[in-house]
Amino acid sequence: MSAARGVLSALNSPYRRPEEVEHNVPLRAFTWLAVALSLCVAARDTGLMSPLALGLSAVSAGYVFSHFRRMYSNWWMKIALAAGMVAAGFIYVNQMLFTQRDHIVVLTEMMIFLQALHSFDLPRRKDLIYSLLSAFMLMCVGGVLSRSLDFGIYLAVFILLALAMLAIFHYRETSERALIIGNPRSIATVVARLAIALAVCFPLFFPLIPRYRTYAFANLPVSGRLREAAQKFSGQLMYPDPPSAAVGIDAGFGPDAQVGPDFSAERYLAGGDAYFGFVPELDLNSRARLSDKLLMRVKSPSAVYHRGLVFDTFKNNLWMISDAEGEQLTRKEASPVFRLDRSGDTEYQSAFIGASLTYHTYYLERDMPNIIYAPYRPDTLYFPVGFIFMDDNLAMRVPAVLLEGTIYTAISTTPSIDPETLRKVAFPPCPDVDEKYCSIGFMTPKMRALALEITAGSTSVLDKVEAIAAYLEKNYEYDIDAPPAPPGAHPVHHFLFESKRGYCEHFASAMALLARAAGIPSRLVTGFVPGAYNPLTGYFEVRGTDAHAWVEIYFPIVGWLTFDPTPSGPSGPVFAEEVTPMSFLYDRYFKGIAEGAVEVAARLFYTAAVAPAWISAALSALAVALCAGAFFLISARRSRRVGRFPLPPNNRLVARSFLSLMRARPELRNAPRSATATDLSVFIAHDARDSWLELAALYNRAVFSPLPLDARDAATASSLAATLKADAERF
Amino acid sequence: MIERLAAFGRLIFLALWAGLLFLIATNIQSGWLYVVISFMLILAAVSVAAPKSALRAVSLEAALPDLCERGSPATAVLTIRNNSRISRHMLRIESLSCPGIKFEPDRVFIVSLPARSSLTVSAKFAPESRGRLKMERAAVSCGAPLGIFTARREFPLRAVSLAHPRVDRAEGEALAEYGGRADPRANPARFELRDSYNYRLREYVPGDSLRQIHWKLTARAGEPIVKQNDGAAVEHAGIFIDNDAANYPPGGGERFERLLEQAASLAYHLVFARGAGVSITASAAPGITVDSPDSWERALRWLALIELQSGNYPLQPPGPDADFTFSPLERTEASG
Repeated sequence: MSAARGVLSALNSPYRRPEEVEHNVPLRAFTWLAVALSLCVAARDTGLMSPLALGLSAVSAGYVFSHFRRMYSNWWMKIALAAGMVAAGFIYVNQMLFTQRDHIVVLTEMMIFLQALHSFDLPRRKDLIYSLLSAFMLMCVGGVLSRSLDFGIYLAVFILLALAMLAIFHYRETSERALIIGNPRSIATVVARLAIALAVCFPLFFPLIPRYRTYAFANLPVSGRLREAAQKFSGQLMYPDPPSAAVGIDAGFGPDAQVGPDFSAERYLAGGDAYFGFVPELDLNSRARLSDKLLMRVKSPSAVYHRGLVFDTFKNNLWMISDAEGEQLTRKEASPVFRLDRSGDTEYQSAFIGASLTYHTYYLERDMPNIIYAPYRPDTLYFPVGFIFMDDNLAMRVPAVLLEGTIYTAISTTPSIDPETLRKVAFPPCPDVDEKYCSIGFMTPKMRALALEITAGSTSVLDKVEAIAAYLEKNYEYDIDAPPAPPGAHPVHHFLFESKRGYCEHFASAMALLARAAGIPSRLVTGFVPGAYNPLTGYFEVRGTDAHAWVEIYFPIVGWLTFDPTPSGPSGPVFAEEVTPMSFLYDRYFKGIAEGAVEVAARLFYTAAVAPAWISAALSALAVALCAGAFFLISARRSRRVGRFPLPPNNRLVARSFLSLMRARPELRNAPRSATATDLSVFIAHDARDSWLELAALYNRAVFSPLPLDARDAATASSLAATLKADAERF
Repeated sequence: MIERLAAFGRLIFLALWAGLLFLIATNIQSGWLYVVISFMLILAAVSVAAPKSALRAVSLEAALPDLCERGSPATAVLTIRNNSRISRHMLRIESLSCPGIKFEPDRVFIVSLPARSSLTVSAKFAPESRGRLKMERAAVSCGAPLGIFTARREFPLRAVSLAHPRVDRAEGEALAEYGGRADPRANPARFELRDSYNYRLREYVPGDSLRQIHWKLTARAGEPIVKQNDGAAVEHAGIFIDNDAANYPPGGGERFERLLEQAASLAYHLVFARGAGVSITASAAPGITVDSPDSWERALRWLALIELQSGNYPLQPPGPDADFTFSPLERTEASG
């Protein structure tokens, strides 16, 4: 019995620093809510539903335990927690080294586990702060993983909870051992004001943060391996189909990867909203109503055109791919990396002029054909399959339909060349490349004549191409509902000389063929335009309506460059344009509509935003400092410092009377400086002492009392001072 | 340097966090992390600007009672004023202490101070020492809104007070009755002493009325003492205080304070209980005369300011009119 009592006593030994124990329930409640929310957010994008359920239960139980056992040392629990943490570390290392799971998922799982363990040991206020900090880390993990705007709602709620928690924390900490005056409920005002400040200042701060585009240490994102097609794959196109249960995403890269069915283009196009440019033979008379559904999100430093298929041959009124099969490239070892190094290709060497490596990660939101979308020109590919096919036009295809949830990354060499340099490129370039890019068969004489007419005055390749693009833009109307060419008619001829209306495929085809007629190698490309940039998530959102066709023109020494002759497209060669929130704001709200000073200011901001990173960082720091300074100055100005406790008028009169009297009384010259008004009466002659004391009392009231004196007091003080001054003349 | 950095500790922590997130954001190209960094930057800017701005708009004044008694509770008045058009939150008047004064509690936390308003706070204190008390400065700190960065501003104050010796009426009465000796047992002739004023004391004689018994002294002496009126009221008494530092052992300040308390208690009793006038003189300071209770405050001020004197101050021995002598030296004769 006594042994049991002893054990119970040992288990209930008191906490050794009871003064540090936190008793406040709202503080714990807000922290718990923030932690629970962070668990949900972190688990949402990692799919860790079981750890989430376990973590939520454990965290809730832990918070309750910590509150009710806060006055006890709980040494036995600490031992159990230490053991649990060691186990968590062991599991983490094991998962990182010996499994193929995504590292960030493993890390998130461990953080959830640690958060759950830590919640059982929160006796002190500081422990709650640590708990909130780890919740903040989980929110950051959620932010890293999140690709949608939903995260903004969770973040807003988390920030409100964290602000409330921190405000209560600050209140508790600073009011400790102090006389508290005021209602603690006014903390809500503080939180509300701060939330408003965050909301108001956010649009100012967010675009100013410099964006460095690096991949210094991050693993490039790539999803689990896709199940590859069963039959022999030699680069042919495959399309998704509604019964897509037959294919799926495998968790790993094992040799047992299953293969799925090969869906036909007819069934794909029969879906109604599929783009007809992703078929082996592009018929210019086809037209499908494109859907506005989100197809993929692209994390990219710049707005780039995502190439899908490249058509090099125009034959029988159809655009075709001459090298339909292409070359098979196999990934190296166990990693899903494809080096698209074709060092023997002179074109590849020349493309390095003014080029930079850029990283583009694709997150597919819907099932897509087996085309790899990537900017020109692909250099390295992280893709979850065993092998890929790349044709002569550097268009890539994989042996599996791309499924929703597929993630891959393409590293591309995006060129950037000064137009003036480009203008110096010698003409004619055609003998440099394959004849198929220069073929002018299946072109009507009228079309050839038109090409020569348009480019007659131009000497350089660039001038000729721009002349063709300008001609198309000036003389033809973009019309998504343009009627198809009559049966048997040449669709481009019909567009150029009959209807004079068309959509992107017509413009691109016309430009490609006119360029060939002018002796310039060209090819037609289908894919997607950059999509809508979301400044909050940082992703480009590519929808079905972003499907597009454009042209690639060959320049000697330089290589292939993109041109978009569609009237809404950019003029001149299309280079990757870096997009930042600031440039987004400029493009969206200022470009084209701003005038005068507004335009100058907007252009200045835009220039700052796209300047080199260190200049951007310096300007941002300057702007933040200016904002903080302005805030401070405005606030200080509103405060209008009054100085030392200003005296009301009558009080000031009384004080002045007394102080002038002090200077008039000679016996006070040697009085200690620290003596009070009343003290000084000791030095005053006996017969004048009462008057002095009366005046001193008035002075004390005037200076130290918060209440104002009335005019009668001021008159009395003045009279007394006058009497005492007259009395001083005796000395 | 480290202390200055420590004041920015939380801010530095916040900056390190933002830097780490920035590193991750640039590597992973996470748009949402830039959103989080924006919030952290705003929070940092507000945390630095808001407390400093709040303190610029605040003024603080303090007032101490003109006179107070050593060791007895007194009240100081602090007035904090918000001169701005914005209400201020979470202000803390801290470290309310100065030599000789210890406030309890020694800090005041003001949750909210509305715009253009002032707040008067009473703070209790008990003077620990006698003499002049000065509250020359106090600090107000503000960490609003979240305490990430705390600004502190010191305000010069003009609050002064005089702490006089403790006055104990009972002790004064006893001292008057025993001719200025605090401990009646210390004098073998204690019961022979003649009370100079209204009555004298003697040992109990059977037949004395019970009304004549001085019960307090009886209790202290352990045997019955009676008082016998002789009808002669005293009009004036002299109290001499020895403040020659040479007469006190090293570190004898506390002894001097004790003697002052006794002298003050005695003087108070004489003036208020017996209606006598009192002349207080000292060996090394000009004296003071208290004619009536109205001028008692002057005596207190005198008693508050008197200090042990050393050096070449002209010393004065207790004069013939010194009915009571308070000195650390052993007395040869009981006065009174």
